[in-house]
Amino acid sequence: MTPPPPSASAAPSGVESAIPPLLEIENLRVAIHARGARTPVLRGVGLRLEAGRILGLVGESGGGKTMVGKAILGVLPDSARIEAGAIRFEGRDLFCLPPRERRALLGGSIATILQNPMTALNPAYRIGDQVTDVLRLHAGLGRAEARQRALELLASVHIRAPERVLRLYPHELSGGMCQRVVISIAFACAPRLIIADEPTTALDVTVQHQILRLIRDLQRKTGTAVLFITHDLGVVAKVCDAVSVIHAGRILDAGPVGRIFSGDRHPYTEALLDAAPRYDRPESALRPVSPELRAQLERETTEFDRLEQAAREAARA
Amino acid sequence: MSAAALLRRLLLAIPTLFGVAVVVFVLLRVVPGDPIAMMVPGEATPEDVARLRASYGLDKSIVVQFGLYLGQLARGDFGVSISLKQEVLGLVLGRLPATLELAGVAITLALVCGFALALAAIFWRGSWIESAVDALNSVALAIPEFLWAMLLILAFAVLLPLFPISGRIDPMRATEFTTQFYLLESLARGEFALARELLGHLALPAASLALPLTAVIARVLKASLQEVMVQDYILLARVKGFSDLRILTREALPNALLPTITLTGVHFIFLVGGTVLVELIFAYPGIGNMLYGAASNRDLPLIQGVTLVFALLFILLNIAIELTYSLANPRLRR
Amino acid sequence: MARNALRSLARNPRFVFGATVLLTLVLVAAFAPWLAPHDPMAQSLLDQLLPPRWVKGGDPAFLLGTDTLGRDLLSRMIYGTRPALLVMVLGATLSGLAGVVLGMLAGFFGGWLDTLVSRTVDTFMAFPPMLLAIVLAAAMGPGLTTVVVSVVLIGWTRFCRVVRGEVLALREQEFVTSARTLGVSRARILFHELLPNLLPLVIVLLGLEMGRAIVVEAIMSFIGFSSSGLATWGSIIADSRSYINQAWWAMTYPIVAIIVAVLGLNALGDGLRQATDPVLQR
Repeated sequence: MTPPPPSASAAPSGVESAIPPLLEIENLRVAIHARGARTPVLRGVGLRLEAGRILGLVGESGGGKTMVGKAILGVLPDSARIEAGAIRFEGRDLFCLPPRERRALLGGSIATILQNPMTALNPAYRIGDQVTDVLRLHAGLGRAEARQRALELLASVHIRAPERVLRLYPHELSGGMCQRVVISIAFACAPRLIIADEPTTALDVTVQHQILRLIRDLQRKTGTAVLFITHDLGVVAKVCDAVSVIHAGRILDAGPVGRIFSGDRHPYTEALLDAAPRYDRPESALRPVSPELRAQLERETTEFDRLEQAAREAARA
Repeated sequence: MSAAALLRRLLLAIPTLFGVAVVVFVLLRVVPGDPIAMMVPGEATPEDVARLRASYGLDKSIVVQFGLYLGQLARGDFGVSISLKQEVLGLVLGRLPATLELAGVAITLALVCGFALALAAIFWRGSWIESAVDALNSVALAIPEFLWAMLLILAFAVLLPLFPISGRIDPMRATEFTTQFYLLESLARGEFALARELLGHLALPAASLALPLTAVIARVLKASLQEVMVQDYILLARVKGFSDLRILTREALPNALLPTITLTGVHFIFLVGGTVLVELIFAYPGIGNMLYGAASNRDLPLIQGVTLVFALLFILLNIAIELTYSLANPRLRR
Repeated sequence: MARNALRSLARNPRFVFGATVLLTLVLVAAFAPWLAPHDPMAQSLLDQLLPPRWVKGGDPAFLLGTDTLGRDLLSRMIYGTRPALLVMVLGATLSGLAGVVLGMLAGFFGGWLDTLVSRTVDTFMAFPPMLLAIVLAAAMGPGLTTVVVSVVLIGWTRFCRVVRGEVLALREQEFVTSARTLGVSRARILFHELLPNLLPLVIVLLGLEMGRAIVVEAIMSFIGFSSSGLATWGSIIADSRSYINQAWWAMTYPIVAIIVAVLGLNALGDGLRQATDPVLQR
């Protein structure tokens, strides 16, 4: 039986902040209800993100990390049901907000960067329209001011000739440039939180590096908190202040980056680190998570589900 | 589409028109039944009949006739109607505006209703509204204009008399029109009462034509919107904080239009073809209606003339659809 | 595998509905003389314009009422299935045959043959369907033959276009190119490789075409270009128009019958496609 996960706080270690964190997720349980079957996706996820910090959420595909991001943004698929838990942003429970307030919150205070830059932009509109529309909605800028601000934003993500790019359509840009545009849109209204879901996965390796640096620089300049969702621990090491490791909808490990990478970590985290391809040793075979560890984790997950089912039936009785 | 591309497209249409002319020409002449014999009074002598036949060129071989016909067409001469004894071109052009107005009103109706239904079904996704739209569509798709016309007559002329079921305008009205575009002219002149009456006469025939197209548009647009709504850029728009309505109409709809145009384009052409039957049912004086008298009388020049005009309409409509598609597609606009 | 297909068919509600409709049509048409209580042509001036039996004034001898000549509507409806079925089966099959053959040839061989066929398709599609039918009627005179020929001339282009597109796509796939390298004759490829893959699609189109054929027949008899005298659904609609103010119900029977027939045939094609398409089988 593994010990309960340590507190996943992206704050200086040992210090429990007196002010509430920017983002706090508590015991989030989400399940997919499709074709009469219930499939749990998030099994009591919890994490904390302080203002101005970068928290990495790491796990394998299907581990639930994208679902966490979607839950925060309120864009879970129709078949997903939030069964328990709370997501608090600046102390307010997002689930209790009426839709209009929630919408005002998004865009103004929370933004997102998606995985595939080519599909994140609307093919029917020019770049300029897609950057200025947020500015006009949330910052209340007029058309000329919004255009000016859009030019500044594009310049801040190192896009050359921003006047030309404003008039282009997404299909006329490369993947790297599209992602820069998406990033500029994310930072446009000076949000307090950005959910970045695998922002570099779909890009070339050389471009990945640039984009990561760009995100980190912008984050430092604006003081935005970032929830960095990724499967790549290397990225986490480079960019994040703290990391939470998720598997099958449960947080298995959490802590400041320094501690995790220096040795004090869960066996699954260990396995993930091991599994990363070693570019300095290209001839060595990839080492997947060992079958024993996997079986152990599966047993724990099943146990968790069983306890939860029992609790629900007891509550019904 | 550039002017050069447009011209090329029009030129490509000529073989099709040619083909149409050939088909009609041949079909009509491989026929027992003599239009001349139907025209002449009983006491005419064989010489009179022969002379009449010669004047219509029906005494020559088919190939020669066709050659002469093509020559005439090139000069803009569509021949003279055997039964109505007037120039075919004049007759057809006289009735064409009525058919164009009917088709125009029907298309507008179909677009408005089709879009409204599809948008409503998506906006209220999962509710009874969506199910109702789906069910209505499934049934409506199986009903051709002919049956819609009958149902509408039943409903609105017999059970609930709201609309007239024949003609274009009340014959008792003494109004002077300068063009044959009654509806457009009355609107341009600001005579709204007159326009309302014209629309009343157009209501049932236009609805019969519009309903099948509405069902197709609603179904295709809804499916298209469904596909678009799960795209990443819609998610991003939601995160940006736009309202559901704005996302549907401004973010999703423009992207759903392209596949819709591709898939529904041909049905607009079917609608225009449907005027042939609907005009008969509602005794609406357009070019479709002219066909029946021409057919019963084996009035070859008139039948040919009407057929060619319809073929031309189809071709123009095809081009219009392609133009719309290239306008709507940002990848093609430059 | 055939047994599996049959079982999944039996479970598919669309197919069941469509098959029921088709079966009913066939049975009614076949047993019409036994099912119909009266001669559809028998006129009776005493029994004109009777309402259906369950309405006041109705006569139990005439379940659905009578028309303006005193003819029993039920019997006319029953006998009306015969021309409908004839046109439907004959017209759709011939139309499908012509379209599939030409489409396969055009798609497979390409070149001038393809150009010729495609241009012909374009030409025919430039005709409003009813216009073609009327011109044919002007040429051939009214009658069921004219109707069948109209259905074939109107419908073959649909089969041709779709089949041609499918063949173009299939032609490039591996199983065809490997057959060619093995030296299999082109005719064999057409029949043994391509045709089975086209069959599900063609069957769906057949279902739709049969529905369209019924409508064409109804329209033709409505206008008066089908065989006169025969009791057809279209002629019932046409007749009932003249006395619609006195007996509006007469029009509803053939309208409902046609709608149900078309819905049923569409569903039949749909159900067959769902059952035979491996992708959709879950």
